[in-house]
Amino acid sequence: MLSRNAIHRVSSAARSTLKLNRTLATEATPSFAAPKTNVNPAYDEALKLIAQDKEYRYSMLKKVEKELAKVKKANNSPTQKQQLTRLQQLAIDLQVKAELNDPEVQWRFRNGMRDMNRPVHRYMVEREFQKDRKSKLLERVLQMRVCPDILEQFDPTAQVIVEYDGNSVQEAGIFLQPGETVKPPTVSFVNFHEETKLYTVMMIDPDVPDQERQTYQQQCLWLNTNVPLSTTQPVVSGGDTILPYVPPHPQKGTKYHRYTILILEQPSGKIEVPSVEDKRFDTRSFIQQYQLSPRGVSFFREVWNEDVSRIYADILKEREPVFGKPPKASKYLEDVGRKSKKYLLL
Amino acid sequence: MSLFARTGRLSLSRQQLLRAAAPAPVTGGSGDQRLEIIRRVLFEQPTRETPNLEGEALQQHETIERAWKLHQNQERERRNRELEKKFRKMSAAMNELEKTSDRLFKAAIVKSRHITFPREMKIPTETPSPQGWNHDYTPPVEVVPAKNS
Amino acid sequence: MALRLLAQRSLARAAPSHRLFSTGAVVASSHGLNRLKEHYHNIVAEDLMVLTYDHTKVSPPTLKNADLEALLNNAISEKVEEPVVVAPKVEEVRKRKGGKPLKPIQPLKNGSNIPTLDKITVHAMVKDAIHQKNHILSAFMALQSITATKPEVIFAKTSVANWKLREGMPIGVKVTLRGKEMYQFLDKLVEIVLPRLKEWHGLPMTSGDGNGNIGIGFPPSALALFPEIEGSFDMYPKMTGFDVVFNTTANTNAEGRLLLSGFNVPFKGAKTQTKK
Repeated sequence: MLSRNAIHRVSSAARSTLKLNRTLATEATPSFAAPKTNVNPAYDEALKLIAQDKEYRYSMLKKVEKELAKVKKANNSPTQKQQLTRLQQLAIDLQVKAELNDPEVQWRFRNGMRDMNRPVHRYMVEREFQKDRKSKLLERVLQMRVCPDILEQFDPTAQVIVEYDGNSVQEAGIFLQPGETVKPPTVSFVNFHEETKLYTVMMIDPDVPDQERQTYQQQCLWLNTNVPLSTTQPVVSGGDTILPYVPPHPQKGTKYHRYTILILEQPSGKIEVPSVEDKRFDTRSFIQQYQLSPRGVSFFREVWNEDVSRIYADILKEREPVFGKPPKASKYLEDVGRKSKKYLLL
Repeated sequence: MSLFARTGRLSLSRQQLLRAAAPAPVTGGSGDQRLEIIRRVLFEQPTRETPNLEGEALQQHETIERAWKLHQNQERERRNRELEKKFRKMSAAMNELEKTSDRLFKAAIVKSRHITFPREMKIPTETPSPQGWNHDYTPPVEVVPAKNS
Repeated sequence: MALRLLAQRSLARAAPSHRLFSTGAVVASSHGLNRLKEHYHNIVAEDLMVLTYDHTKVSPPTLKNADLEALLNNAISEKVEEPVVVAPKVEEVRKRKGGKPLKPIQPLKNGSNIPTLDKITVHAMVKDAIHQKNHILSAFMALQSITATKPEVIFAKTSVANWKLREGMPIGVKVTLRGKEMYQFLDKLVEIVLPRLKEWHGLPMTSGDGNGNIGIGFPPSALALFPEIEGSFDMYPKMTGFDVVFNTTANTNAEGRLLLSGFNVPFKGAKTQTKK
């Protein structure tokens, strides 16, 4: 198990990069300054080669677009759909490869100015996730047993970023304080499809003690269905709120709780979900019932502190349960507190 | 014994020791002197500092690297395409031959396990030049770099 | 290539601390090209494709190496791609005589799986290192000199009581060469060392491990033939024998031998003229 300190340190680093990205994107965007030409001949030659390649690919792209228009016009062709998908694929591929070597594109990507409208940036973000972040995410998810406990292991397609006020879960598994997560977070799912698709977003706590059955139960803390998401609109908003947000409240006497945010795609479009019982929630059967396919996951961990008592009193308006082992009868002390005699006269 | 672990910079005291040591007697009788030299050459060389690039220099460097990779990619793809084309043509020719003449086709698919390139095959070299020595050679004019302010 | 030449020229001018590219012992030719690599791509590869062609094993054409025009033509073509129906494979029991390990199934031929040299391993076991660890230094230095790459030390995996060898003792050195270092080493070996070996006429025509990898063992005296060692021969306390293993992507010994002979590695009993 990873030490708590290490995770805190990592999370603060991730936070700082995010902050950097944001400041670069909003405040006084620095403009790209290309290095001077006619200084380093190798650099000039490199630019020439890249420009040549770009020009060639753009000329091919023009041809592809011409063909696309032609195919779109021919309505009665039986192979139209197949031709269209192939041509569109080729067009996107050409656009990406034409711009990938551009120094400015690379510079903008590295400095956090990522424009998801551009195919090349979408491609770069996706590659970054697949090559770099996915393995880390899966490592955390499997190490901390989120996957067999809540649902079967799956292949996440994109990153889920959960942002609370001043805290962001860029890296799965970090520790947060219950006081920091009272208000609902901003969840964004960095997807790569241009068209809008519908998603179900939920937050599950699989570590709530179930006293009756002497085991653990899952509790659904937040459930939104029919959330429209696309690559330019990655932030979760709108949709139907089935269960409003309940702040995470790890019970006193239990170990850490894994608060898991799941992003599930609705392949068959809109779904109608009647009211759901949040206690003893079964994620697996819910996914099966509504034919959902998991696409993204992220989670953070919390342990009890005094804020949980306040959440119970002010928000949940319930008596706070305290868990622990039952008191053990002492072998040596009597009920009155005196030490029992070692030898008895029989 | 840290025979293989010693790398990196010499410690200061070690450097002073080396400087102070008398030159080795050139007897050559024992192998110890030579082993000591080998050890010093192999494991006590200071590590070379890697250049730390920043700003414009870094951008230039990355652009050059990307272009070089692009060039290599283009070359590789061109080579593969040519080979693939030739291979398909060869395959088509064999199919044609199969239809045309059974005798020739059978002769064409016979293979020897002991086939090699001829020993006389010479791998091309730059020197000696087929034209002999060029006495009128003048070096190419250097590109004078603009002064950086 | 103009880019490469210009890069080198500009590097030569730049201050040494600002050099961005490695300036190792591998010296490129004045063209900035690697002689054997160019030879392989310009001459050998095509001949190998012809010589190793097998009409019974031709893979169906794909669009893997197609250019953009061909991709565009494929995209607008009206032929409907039939879904490839893969018949369930009957698991045939493969066996080899004498219970030997099975050889991998040979892939179908196409233009892109022509045999190439993958890596060269230079390995030396130093038996004297059992009694005196210092002896390994000499082999270490020698291998580093001839290959321009830092060798790794090999430690004994098992104990052998008869040799007084115990597990974990340093017993040998090894270098794995790939890319330009590999071609440079092969160049030296073929042009300088192999022709000067006494009473050695070439590799036997039966050489190879069955999968197209070929190895040669060298006596200690061969080390002195390398130009790097020739000049400073007296500085090495001990010369060791070593072996060189050529790892190729060929699938059979015949293909592996053919590839190596393309790099001028001599084979015994090979015909000096190709059959017309």
